[in-house]
Amino acid sequence: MRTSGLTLLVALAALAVRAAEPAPQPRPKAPADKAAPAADKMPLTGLAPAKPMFDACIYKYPVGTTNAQAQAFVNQGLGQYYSYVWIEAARAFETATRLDPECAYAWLMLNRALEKWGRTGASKPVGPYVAALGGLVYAKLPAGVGRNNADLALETARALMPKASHREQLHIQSRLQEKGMWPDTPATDRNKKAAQSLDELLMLHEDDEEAWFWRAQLARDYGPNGTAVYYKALLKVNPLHPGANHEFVHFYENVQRPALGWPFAEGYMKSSPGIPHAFHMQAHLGMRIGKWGTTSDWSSKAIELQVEYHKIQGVTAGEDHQFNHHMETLTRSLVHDGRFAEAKKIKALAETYKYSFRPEWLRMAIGERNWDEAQKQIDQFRRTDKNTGAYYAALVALEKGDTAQAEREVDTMRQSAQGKKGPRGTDRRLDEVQGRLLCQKGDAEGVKALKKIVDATKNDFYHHAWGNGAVYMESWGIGALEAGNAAQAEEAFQEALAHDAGSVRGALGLWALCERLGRTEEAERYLKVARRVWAKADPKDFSALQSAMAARAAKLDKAVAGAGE
Amino acid sequence: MTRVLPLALVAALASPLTAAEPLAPGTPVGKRPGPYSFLVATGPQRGKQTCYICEQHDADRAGMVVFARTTSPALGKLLAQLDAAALAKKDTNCKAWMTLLAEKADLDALAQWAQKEGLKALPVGAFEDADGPPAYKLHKDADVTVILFTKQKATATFAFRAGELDAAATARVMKAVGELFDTK
Repeated sequence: MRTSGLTLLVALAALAVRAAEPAPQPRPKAPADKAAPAADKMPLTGLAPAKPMFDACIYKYPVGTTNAQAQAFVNQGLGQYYSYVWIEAARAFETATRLDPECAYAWLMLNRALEKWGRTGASKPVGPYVAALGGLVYAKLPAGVGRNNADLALETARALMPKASHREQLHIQSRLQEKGMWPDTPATDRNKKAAQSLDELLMLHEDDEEAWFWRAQLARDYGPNGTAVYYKALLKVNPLHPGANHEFVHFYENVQRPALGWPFAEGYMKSSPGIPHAFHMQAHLGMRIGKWGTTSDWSSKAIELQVEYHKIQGVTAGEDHQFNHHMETLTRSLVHDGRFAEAKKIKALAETYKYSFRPEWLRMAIGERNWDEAQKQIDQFRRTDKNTGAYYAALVALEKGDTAQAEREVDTMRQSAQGKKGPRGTDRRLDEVQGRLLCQKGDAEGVKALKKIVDATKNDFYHHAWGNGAVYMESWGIGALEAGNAAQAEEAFQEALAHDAGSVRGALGLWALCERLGRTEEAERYLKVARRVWAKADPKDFSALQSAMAARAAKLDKAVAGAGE
Repeated sequence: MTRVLPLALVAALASPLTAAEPLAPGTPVGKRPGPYSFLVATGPQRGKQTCYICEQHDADRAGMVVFARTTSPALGKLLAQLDAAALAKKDTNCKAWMTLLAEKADLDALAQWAQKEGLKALPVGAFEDADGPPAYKLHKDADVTVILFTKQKATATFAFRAGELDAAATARVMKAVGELFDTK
């Protein structure tokens, strides 16, 4: 089946090259809708045919087929492609090609999806002379030589060009130019020629959403904002285009303007109501701009959708490259929001997949004051990484007020760090727990040390990813409270809230400080913020954190703090 | 009964008088305005969560902060004057900005409004909590609050209910702005 198809394909490809750009022929009617045989594996992806998930994404792009099922699977594949679910995109496109083997756009997108998925299959090597002679010779190579499965898909699309619409011809031509498989396309001009083909298409059909998307992709070389203008144009045509919305979430995160990406994060979810990644992506921005509550809810939905998707398509977690990251993000978000009951359910689920999000689980144990669980996590850390184990053990000891144990752990960290260059952040971890330890011992130098870490990291956009925005500021504030330094504690906690509007420790630290200093109105305002931030936390966990902050603030000298006012 | 009637009359007469009393702006003169960040809609920081207070405090520079709960032509006029004042004193690196208090930021709408009002260097943005930053203790009835500061201390503060920010009120603010740069 594969060999005969290949022979036909090459013959058609050679014809296509000779004929250059003939006028599109009327499409023969595709076979009537019929379901692909179940449980078999398709030749290029090696996957079972796709099961319908037609409502997962609302995007529709009519392609040259009269087979409604093939069209539906092309739409399904596009929705998955725009969410980077390469395996499902490839599966859906190959399924479409089975339903209508002459659907050129399905073959073109199968090429793109296979390439992104990275399962293009092996290709027989070709001699360097081919590269020297260019795309025309490439098309006439013997069957299989120099081609992998992605190439085969593209060659099939090329072979179908005479029967495809003019639009699709230009799409395929552009892709062939990009890959250097089109005549008169020197290596230095591939992107330029590919872009020119799409420009021609857009000149003729300004509403061609696919053309706008792929034109944007080809604009990457034109400065940091080269792609953005094309995505904006595409969104004028279709405000809910999943690809443009998704790309803008990444784009605005990368250009460090996360707030501008938020409307696109919302648009992406609207465009793809059944695709997990759409509900995950908002977290990239939400965690940076303080939208924690909604972030956690949507990240939860991402996991629900993902488990369901695995069942529908028979995919394992290992085959889904997004699953681990989505679950880790959700865990982090739930723990940040004090939603420990939900985080525990996700932990149990994660463990069934043998995923480990130990730093988040340890922070949850600390948040719950579950010292036995914290110790279990620390023991796990110690098995593989002595320094990290000591760091977390020191944090737990400091939290419990066990200064002597914290000192022992800090000593362990110092010894294990001697003469070694640890991973990024190792030195800061040591500085953090040393600073906290000094504060707990009443040494004012500890506050200075903690502030130093904040000064070194507060403007680092990458450090602030994934809810890290206020972590060191909270340590600085807690240390300052423990050292009895009201001014530094206030500054630290205000910085914490300025960097992470969802910092419950920042809000409760300020509540405790204001309460202690008799600034009742401010205390009430900070308590309101803290309650809002941990609105879905177990009240007992909230009370425990509140009490711990109040106990620390008791070290503030009212008279001294008042004098400094 | 004869005693109740005059009391009711007094209460009725007193309530408009109470409403006309100036609102407490929150941050007292002489206090340090605390750090807070907001989502910036215009200028080079557009789309970024930014703490202008932090930047100004770090160098002991002057600042003019406006918190608003609604946008209005009167607010636009005040901001345009603050914008011009800040530009006139550009050599001092002073900064003026406006933070809209809103449950949900609409940065594009805010940017369009700022453009319509002809604002130049004065950035506007949103803080997604209608109460405002807690440290500022903004009055719940204040539609517009203005805080002027230099060397990390507030030098003048104003709070206006909706409709109170008229030409005279704006003139009072601008007089204090003039004095801000005379502060040693």
